[in-house]
Amino acid sequence: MWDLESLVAWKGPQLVRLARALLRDPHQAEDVVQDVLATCVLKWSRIEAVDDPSAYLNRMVVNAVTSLRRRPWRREQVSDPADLPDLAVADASGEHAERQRCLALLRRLPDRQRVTLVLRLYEGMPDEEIADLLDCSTGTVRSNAHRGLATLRRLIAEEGTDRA
Amino acid sequence: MPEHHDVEDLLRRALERDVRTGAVDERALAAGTRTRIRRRHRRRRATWAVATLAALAAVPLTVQALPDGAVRTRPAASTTATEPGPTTAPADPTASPSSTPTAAPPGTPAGTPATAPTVPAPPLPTSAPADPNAVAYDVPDLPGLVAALPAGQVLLSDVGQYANLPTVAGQGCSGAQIDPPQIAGRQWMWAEENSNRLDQTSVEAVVTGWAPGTGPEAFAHLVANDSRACGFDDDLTPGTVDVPGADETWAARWETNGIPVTAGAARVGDLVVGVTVSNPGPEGDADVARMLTAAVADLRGSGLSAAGS
Repeated sequence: MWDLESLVAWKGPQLVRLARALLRDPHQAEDVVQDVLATCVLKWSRIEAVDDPSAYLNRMVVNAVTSLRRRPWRREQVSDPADLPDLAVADASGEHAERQRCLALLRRLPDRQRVTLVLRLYEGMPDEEIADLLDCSTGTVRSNAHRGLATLRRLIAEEGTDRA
Repeated sequence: MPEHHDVEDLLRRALERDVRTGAVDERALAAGTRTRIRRRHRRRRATWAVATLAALAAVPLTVQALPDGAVRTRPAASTTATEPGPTTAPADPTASPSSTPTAAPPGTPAGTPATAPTVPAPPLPTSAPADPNAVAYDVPDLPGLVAALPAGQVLLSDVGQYANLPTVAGQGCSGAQIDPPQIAGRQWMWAEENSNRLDQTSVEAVVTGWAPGTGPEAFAHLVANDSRACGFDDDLTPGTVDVPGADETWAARWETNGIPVTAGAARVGDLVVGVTVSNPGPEGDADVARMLTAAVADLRGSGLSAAGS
């Protein structure tokens, strides 16, 4: 039946990938998911009672990621792309390299913009649900998504100019 | 310069093709999770010890501070009461991974008194604080139910006095206002061992107290699976259970994520006791009947006016 290994096999990779998309640091992503899985094991009787335990675990990861930002001692130090160090982005051409560049630049977006874009495009979450999770209005969600894409577009253009 | 929608498409493709297919070391993930579980168990044991000391210092204080018969709040001994049960879980999924239930250590029977430490009493408060979780009365220990548990069960948690509980453990709750008003409640959980093994037999018992005269209405919601705030999402197989001394009974079986569950409930005046057994043995139905019968006798003998006694 259920043991930790089964739980990890069922949801672990999916949650780690979600956390990797939401966070800048992949190691921090694994930390967050381990915390969520431990909570899941210890409170399984409660979690199994909710409508959709799988979606519930996704929300736990999103909440854990967003709450990281509220903890000053664990907050990621940079929130403005201008302050971010340049990430090593391979100067390669082709579709794969382009996608990798895009993901690297996504990690340079301010938290709210990055999380909003990931929830929208990766999780397929409606704006109302994102607003609920991030404790803001749907207008703010739309604004963050728009600004995130605009910033991404600008960064991609700057990369292109630098390489030219 | 790329167009806005081009960037969106590119990001979408990157997330789908590169993030969603990223490699994950499941063994390392399981090992890290196991370490965290062990750490929390250690913290939980330490918290329990501290809370017990604090509770023993505070309980006499509560008795002194409140007039007899007044509406009481949770006793300080209910160390887990600040963590709401399933009713509020969906609203706040991470509701505090760090505030795990401060359960009694394994093997501790319900109501076991701890050794009284010599802790100096803190000064009396000048006024009773307002408590939004105030209960109208305390649900007492149920020694008969504890004695009727399947063999080898150890107490994992006692949520204390809390009037925002599902009628039967296993119901999903929406967070909506419970109607009719629930005015008292207490929930316990036992299992074979205090571990993360999910295939063990576990028992959850809930006693809910309803506003005077509304016990039958609350029970009718359970029977109709129309509990307004709490209900079953799984397909129930209705059953029957014979509980001497009960005003009404209800029973059902279902399966949650492949785990078989058998449950029953009994009404005693304006009190409802629900017992849920996950991974029941072959005597699961008989276990439920025996535990409910014992719980009903406990409640009848409790002296609570809600039980009609």
